[in-house]
Amino acid sequence: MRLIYLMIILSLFLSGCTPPLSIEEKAIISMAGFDKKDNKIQVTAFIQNPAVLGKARAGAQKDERPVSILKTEGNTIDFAVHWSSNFVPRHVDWNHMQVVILGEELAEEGISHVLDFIQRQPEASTLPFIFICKGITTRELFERAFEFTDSPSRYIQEIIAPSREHTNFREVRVYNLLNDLNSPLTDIVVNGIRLAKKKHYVTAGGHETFYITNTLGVLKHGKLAGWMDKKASSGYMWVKEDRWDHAVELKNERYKVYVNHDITTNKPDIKVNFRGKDIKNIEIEVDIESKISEISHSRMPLTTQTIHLFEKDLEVYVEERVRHMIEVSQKMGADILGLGYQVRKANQKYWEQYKTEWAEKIYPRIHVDVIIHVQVENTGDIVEKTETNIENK
Amino acid sequence: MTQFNRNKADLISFRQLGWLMITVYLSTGITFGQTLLAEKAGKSGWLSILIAGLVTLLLLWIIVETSIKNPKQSLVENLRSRLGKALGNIVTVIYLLLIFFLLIMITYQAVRITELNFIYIYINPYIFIVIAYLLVIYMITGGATILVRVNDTILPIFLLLLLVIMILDIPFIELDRGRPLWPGNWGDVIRGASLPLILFSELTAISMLWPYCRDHHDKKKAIKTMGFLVVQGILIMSFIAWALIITFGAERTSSLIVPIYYLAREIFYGQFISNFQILLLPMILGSIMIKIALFIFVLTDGLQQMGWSKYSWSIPYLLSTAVIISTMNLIKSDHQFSYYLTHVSVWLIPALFFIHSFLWLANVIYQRKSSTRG
Amino acid sequence: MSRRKFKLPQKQYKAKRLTFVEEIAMWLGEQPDLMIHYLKNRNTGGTPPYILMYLESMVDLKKINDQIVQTLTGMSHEFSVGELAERIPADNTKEFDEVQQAGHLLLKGYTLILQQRHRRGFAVNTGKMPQRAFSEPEAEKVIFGPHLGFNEQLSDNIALIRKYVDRDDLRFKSITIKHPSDKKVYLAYVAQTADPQLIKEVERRLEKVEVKDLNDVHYLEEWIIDRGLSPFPNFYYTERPDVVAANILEGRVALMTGNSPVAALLPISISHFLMAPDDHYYNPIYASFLRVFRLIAAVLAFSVSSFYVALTMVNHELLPFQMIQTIIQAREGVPFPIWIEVLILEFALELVIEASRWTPGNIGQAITLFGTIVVGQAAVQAGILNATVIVVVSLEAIASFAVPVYRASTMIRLLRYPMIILASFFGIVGILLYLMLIFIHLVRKENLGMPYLLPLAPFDLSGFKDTLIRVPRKMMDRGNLINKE
Repeated sequence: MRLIYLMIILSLFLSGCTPPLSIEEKAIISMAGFDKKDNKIQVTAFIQNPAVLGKARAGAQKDERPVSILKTEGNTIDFAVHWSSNFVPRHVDWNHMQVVILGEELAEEGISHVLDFIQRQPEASTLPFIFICKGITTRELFERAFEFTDSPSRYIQEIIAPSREHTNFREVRVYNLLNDLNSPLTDIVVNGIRLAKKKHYVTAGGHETFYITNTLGVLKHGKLAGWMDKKASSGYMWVKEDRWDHAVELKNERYKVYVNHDITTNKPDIKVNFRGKDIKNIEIEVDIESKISEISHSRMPLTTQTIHLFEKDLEVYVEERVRHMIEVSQKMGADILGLGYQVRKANQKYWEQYKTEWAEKIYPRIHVDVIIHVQVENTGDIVEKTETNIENK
Repeated sequence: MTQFNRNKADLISFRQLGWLMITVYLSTGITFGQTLLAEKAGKSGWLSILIAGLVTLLLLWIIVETSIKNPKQSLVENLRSRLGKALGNIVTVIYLLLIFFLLIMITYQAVRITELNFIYIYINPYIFIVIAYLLVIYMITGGATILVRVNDTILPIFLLLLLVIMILDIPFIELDRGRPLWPGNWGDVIRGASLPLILFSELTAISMLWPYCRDHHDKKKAIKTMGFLVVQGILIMSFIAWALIITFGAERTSSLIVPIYYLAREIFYGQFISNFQILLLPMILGSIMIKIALFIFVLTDGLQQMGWSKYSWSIPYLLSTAVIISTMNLIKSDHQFSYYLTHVSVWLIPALFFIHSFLWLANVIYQRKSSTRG
Repeated sequence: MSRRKFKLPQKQYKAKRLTFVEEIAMWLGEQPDLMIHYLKNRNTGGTPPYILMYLESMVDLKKINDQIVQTLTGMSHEFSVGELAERIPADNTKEFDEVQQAGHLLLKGYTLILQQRHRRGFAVNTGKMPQRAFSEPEAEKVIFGPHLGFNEQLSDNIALIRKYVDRDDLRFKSITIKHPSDKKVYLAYVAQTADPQLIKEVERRLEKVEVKDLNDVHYLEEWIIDRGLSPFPNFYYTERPDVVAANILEGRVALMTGNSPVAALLPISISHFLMAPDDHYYNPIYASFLRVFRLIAAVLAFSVSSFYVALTMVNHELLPFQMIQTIIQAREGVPFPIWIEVLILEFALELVIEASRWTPGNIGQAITLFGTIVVGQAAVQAGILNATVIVVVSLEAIASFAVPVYRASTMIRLLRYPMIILASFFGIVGILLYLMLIFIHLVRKENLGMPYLLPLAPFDLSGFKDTLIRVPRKMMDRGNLINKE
């Protein structure tokens, strides 16, 4: 009996299995772009081939590039990619995708199709960053990138790293989108990506690069509802994101100096106030702490009064942006701050009654108060400008 | 090194039995259990588990109560001696058939999980199941003690992995995403509670292991130790359900095949842990294996006690072949059949409940009779 | 004194009735060093009353001269054999009256004292065994602690154990094993701590042994172990008296035979293979660190190459993107699939190990040099192997040498071959299934009734005191002194 059993297993072993392909036999997609054109999904992808670098290291002539570009289209992504296997040298592999870029047109129609595809790839990670092209199609963007870099996904990750601190960069990965799309209470924002102006950054070959925009695209129920301007995006970041190490340059009208604030913390707090059965107002309160890192004027004493003035400046600056952001989002009818959730937390009955009307009717007309508290830390190190002391000596 | 106590060598302690129960929960709880739970109970699935846990404790009490009456007899022997040979055999066959159905269900789910989530096209998922069954047979031919000891050593590794996943996931959990966990509708919760009950009904299998227990006459200790461990298992399960719903929400959890796999898929720590989820494989397959081993052991033992001991060495082989073949047929046939099977399994709970309560009642009546005679 | 080498009686003497001496010589057969010594009594003169027989290479001639010849020649008259026993100043004496008995005694280094016309005799132990001085064993060197090992003399080894254990309940039980010349093995144990059932069991199993040959205690392992084949070592062999002493104090039994410096300790569990002899001479924290470290080394030695194969061939989504690029670059132009590449290198590693085992020390260096250059550099440059595989396999090799017991490290190297092949087909799942198999095997394995995985399965927290970690001696000894009864 045991022998028979062994035979069955051996036959199973010998029938259906072949050793799998090892990594160098796969065409690893590092970055993929999806767009819509003539009602078809247009797939553009970078296929990495690091073996070329190995060849180059061994001394062979470098006549190939370690990256190639795949352009294909179809009604579904998977079919389009499978169809392309005729002209791609190795097996396409989605496991190591680093960045996903969506075309503006596709985003307007809805991104759930692409997300569904990524989620259904059993081994694909849900970690890639996601961006929306602004003012350019994905294919164009990929072609531009192909001109100046051998590792486009890495290039994007490199430009992300500093922008976390100084621009309106909201880190959105595929799983964030997947999770948020499933919770209908919050609408999401995604950064755009666009061509850089030549004067800012030009590569050695004189090619145009691209950069992450300071404007955020609003995805309402998974569809691109519009772009917020720079000011509104900044306001969104003050409420939603940790602005640690963020630099703000402000002009003080009274002393005619420029002061640079280095933000240490910002703590947002959202409160919903009811009057009877209706919402009276929503209060958004942000506590900000900052350090003064630079003052442009040489003889500017840093006393409690001046610090108070600088605090006021920053308060006005932030409040203006947050108010603008709320106006913009109310116009779009996209509850990007998740205020609906706060309402639901405060009053379940009210929410159950009005949840269908929230996004379209109630949210655009709701009164939102913005209260900003700024506290500048007086570190005590330097009270007066160092120059004055030096000059006096 | 301390001396090894030879007298206790071949017996199981209640603690070990409790750990076996936790593995049995986990194997279902981390795989398809959560999906079904989210489907039925929605966002308050964790509460359903807690409610089901109360019923489970009741079930545990009944099991201990029936087993303690005749600690040297397993469930099958007990049934046969109490109900008479004919009736006892019928009830036993029903019981073993239910266990057999559960076994097919688990195997089916295991194949489905491997097929859909982990294995790529060039490998046949049946091979895993066949190898897993061979290992299971190797395990159970060593006796109940071996099965329990394997579980003893593997379970801490599983729990550690689970803990690591939960801890690594904390940065990815956003609490303000808008998912209140308190139920709006208590009907959902009660409906949801029926699902974990399927899982807990597997507890009855342990009453077959009772004769192998070390202190099998000590009721207080049994209730204390095992009850404590059962409560622990329920809390772990409830915590997993809570974490899943916090991260995914009920809608998405119910659409995923192995939600915890997707939870692990989100973990990302720079250059070192990029795709963590694959490490869940050992946990999922290992715990399913131990569960299969428990059931095959129960079936083998049950059949032997019904008088099949002549063929004792071939029973596990025959059983596993039967399970594999029926699972293969199930997968090849219409998907509807599996749906049907899942619904049949809902009847398992009352059936298993009924068998145990019946036995309990029989025990009480028998004792009263014998005491009046005396 | 007439001493002559004995010559076998020719065939023509066969008809004649042989003397007892001649019969013994016949029984022994061709023994060129057999000496027969006819003693003449100074006082009585005439026919030599005593005949001495001995094998010249086995005896201490000085002892014979001092203890026997001097006494016998100085006697006033002839004594019978029984009377002689009281008069000869030797302690280890035996009487015999059979040819076979006499032959066995001769072969053990006894000197026989016989009388003409009597078929009885008397034997004195004058044996002189070739003997080696005590030295530190090659395979179990320590930095601190006693630098002492057994030699091939059983009595010396017993003396060493007595010296180290120093307890009044130390017992040596001798058991005779079925062997053409009835070999004896010794069981050393401490009566208070050893389990009497265990000793009974060992005795029972030893009584069943039938060996043709018993040069060493290793011959007994396969007779004593439980049923079933297993690649895992069953006994812990040591040449160090301090290790034996420590183990028998913990309740284990040491099995020793003559002519071998090795003692077998039983029963043991798998945790023994993480222990080095000098763990107890270090600070407990450092010793615990070393043990955990060794466990990591063992796990690495066992699994690194399989995980490499699984990660690069099947589950490469687990690898970070940058690492994948590096591996692909390194693999450019390599003609073999990864798993064959790994197997080739593993095979080369075994070759180097085996080759350096058999070559004399000064040539051994050439092998290392050649191995390094050929495998390490030339193979990569020629594009036959890739550099990452070499890193992986050498890491594994080094890790396997960090396991303190050589037997365990060879076993680890042996067990990983199936795992590499499974990993290449099934990836991580294949590794899992293989590990499960090994794991179930270990749980099922018993060593003289003791589970092999103790204290892990069945779980015993107090057993961890001196296995994976080493707690301070204070905590360890306290438990041992208040042992049951």
